[in-house]
Amino acid sequence: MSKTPIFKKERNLYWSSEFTDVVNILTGVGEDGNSSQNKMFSTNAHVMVLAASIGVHAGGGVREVSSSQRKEISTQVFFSQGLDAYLLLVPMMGEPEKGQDLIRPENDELLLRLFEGYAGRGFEILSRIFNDSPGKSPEILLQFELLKLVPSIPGSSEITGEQGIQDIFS
Amino acid sequence: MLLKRLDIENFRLFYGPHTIDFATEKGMSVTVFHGENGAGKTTLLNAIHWCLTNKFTPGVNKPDVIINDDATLEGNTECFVELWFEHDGIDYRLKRGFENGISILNLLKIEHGNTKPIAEGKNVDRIIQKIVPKELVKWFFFDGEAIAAFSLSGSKNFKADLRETLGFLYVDKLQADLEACLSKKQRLVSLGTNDKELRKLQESIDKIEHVMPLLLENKSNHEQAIAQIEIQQRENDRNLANQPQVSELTKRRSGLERAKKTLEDNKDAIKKNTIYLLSHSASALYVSKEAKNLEKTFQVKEVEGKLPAPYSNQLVADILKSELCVCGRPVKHGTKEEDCINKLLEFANTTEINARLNEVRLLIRNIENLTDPFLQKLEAYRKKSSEIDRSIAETVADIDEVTQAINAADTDEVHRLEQERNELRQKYSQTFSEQRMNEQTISSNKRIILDLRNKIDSVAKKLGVNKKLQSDISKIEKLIDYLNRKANEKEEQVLRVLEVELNNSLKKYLTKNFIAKIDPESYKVSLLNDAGGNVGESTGEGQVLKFAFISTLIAIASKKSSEKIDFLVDPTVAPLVLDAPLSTLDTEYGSSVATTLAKNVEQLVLMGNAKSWDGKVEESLSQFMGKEYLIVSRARGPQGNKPNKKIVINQKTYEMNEYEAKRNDSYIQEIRLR
Repeated sequence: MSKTPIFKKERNLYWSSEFTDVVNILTGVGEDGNSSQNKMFSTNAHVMVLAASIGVHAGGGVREVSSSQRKEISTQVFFSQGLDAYLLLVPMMGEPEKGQDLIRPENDELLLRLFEGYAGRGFEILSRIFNDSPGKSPEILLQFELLKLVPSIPGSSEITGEQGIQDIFS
Repeated sequence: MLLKRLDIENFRLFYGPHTIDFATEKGMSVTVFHGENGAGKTTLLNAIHWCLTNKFTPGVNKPDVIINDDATLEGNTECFVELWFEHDGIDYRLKRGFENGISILNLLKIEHGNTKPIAEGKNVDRIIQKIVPKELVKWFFFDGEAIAAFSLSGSKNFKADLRETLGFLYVDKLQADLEACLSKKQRLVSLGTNDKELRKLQESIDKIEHVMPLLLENKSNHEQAIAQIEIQQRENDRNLANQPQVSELTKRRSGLERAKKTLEDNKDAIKKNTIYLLSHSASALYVSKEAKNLEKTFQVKEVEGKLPAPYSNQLVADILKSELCVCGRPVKHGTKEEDCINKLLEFANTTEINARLNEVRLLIRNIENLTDPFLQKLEAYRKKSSEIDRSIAETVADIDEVTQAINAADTDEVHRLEQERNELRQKYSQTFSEQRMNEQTISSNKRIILDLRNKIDSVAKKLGVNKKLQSDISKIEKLIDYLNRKANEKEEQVLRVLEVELNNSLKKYLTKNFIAKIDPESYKVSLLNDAGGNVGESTGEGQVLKFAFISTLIAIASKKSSEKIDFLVDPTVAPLVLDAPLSTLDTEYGSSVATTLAKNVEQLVLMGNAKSWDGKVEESLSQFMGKEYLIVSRARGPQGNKPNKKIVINQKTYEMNEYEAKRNDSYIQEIRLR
């Protein structure tokens, strides 16, 4: 049986266009507008999910999206990429007091605005990471950040060191 | 396109007139030519190629000689190739040649047995270009060198050719036309006002658009130059390998260079796998802890009986409708009891909420599955990457050592060829870097134009200029967007089907459990072994992959795939003409490759020598073979010590060459089929 969309009514999610550079870096879009072969994420929706995950993990609350400078992604895109469950999960994790009431269809507007807010916070963090390390590839930077999140395996090599990280992408 | 007949006269090796009828019957459309090296197999392939394109395949000796030498000496200046073929149910005769030193080119249509001229000169080329685009002919005509040189490398040319074969280039052209239309409309918007900013923006676009044709011409020139250098490099390799003093060393160096290329490909694959791992695990890793906490909360609420809510919205609706609670108390309209029951709706369970909750819990489980093996996988990739780096360094050192040994050889010719080799490498690298710079400029210009157009759009909207034009622009933009999406969907489908069918073909060919992968970005085709390692192109299996790929591609273009593809534009389909195809293959694969080729393509023309025609190949092809010919070469003068070459076909022995002939030439003899 094929999966049906979580959001029956198609809605838009917004992200601030000030983070276009971050999205372009992660989707492999160069300054020339062309797509690189080794891109990390295939769609802007993937990047927005990453940003929302970073935002909710960081814990600093949400960051509003200004209505004048924003770009949109439809819930249908998240569904087609198999990412729509993140639109429920991230706000539920960020607002534990509201709990599962957030996923009631009548709260969809609030749910999506919360997701955007966490993504906004995450974009801010990603933007800082990229700006602080100019010239380093997003693969290396993301790998470095991710390794901070997982405990090392006993007996593993110096993978968590920066040299270990760069080996693969040299 | 279906080849029906070929008439040639005084064409290169063939003196006088010769006629060949091709096998055309469905299921029996294989035509086979047997001939020894130098008998004229490549000439025959090139007769068709030249007739269609006015060019020979790369690497043909003396491409400027078209008229047979003896005919020329006898003062005969007439020479032609006439190809009879069918396309879209219509029969045509295409004739290219020389009459009294003047070139002729005409295309006739055959209707009810009568011929009717439909085009002459350049117009013929335009029509033929639509049937088989010149750029694609190389996908259907492979001479002896071409299969070995054919690379599934995922280069820009390879991707462009493949897109064109599959009909996507027409979509690209339509998109380019729409963009030109958009540009024209936007120009009208800018010029329709006296606003300085708009005019300035338009002037900037005009300047860039003015230089774009030159940049695109450079792009095409670079592509041609690179293809030419690659041919020269192969020729240089061959010449070096023919030098007795360094023959073995040269072969060893070629082997090492191929090994280095395979290692670099493997390194690239590790990079891609790592990027895949990072991108697919990143979000999960960030929320893994919070997701676990959420799941614990769910479990606690489940135990408390609050998840899901112990009553449904339907129960609440039923109570309100019947005005009676399950406990027996009345719930009248407008009473306190009704308010209490209504409040219950806020927490009532519904099918939709249950489904959403299930999705969330499923995602939490997926997050755990993604995060747990992350570090082990990353560690494994890093180790593999370090191993490859070490191997590459060792291989480079070996190449340097062999090169030094070659340079130490005491012959001028070797030094000259080595110098030529270095020059060609330098030329390649320089042209390649020029090509990249040019392409970057093209891409950058496209991006600038796009930004400028967006600015024009925004300024024009603020000024409120010409609503009608703006509405037209919006329509064109929507159409471009729709076309993009449709083309992308179709491209994804075609590549998926191509990969599935390619692997089905490989299963028939190979005893080893190898898998072919097609990179959706570059179209590069790789063959991977059980451990996920890259199997080099030059291996026996790598050669088989090339045949499997070509035949699968043609089968898909001919709509023979099991999953039917509704192409946006019909793909190009032409007969597959292969000269000496089986000689590049390990003998174990010969018959299975021949059979799959015969089954997959609409029409197959195979050319080979006695060595490649063993019993197994003959047996497997016999059921598909509609015509079979022998190309016999004749030589002036006595036989002397020269051998008489023979071939056994259908248990009958045929002589493949004759001596004491009137002239050095070849003739074609049809062999009666069983």
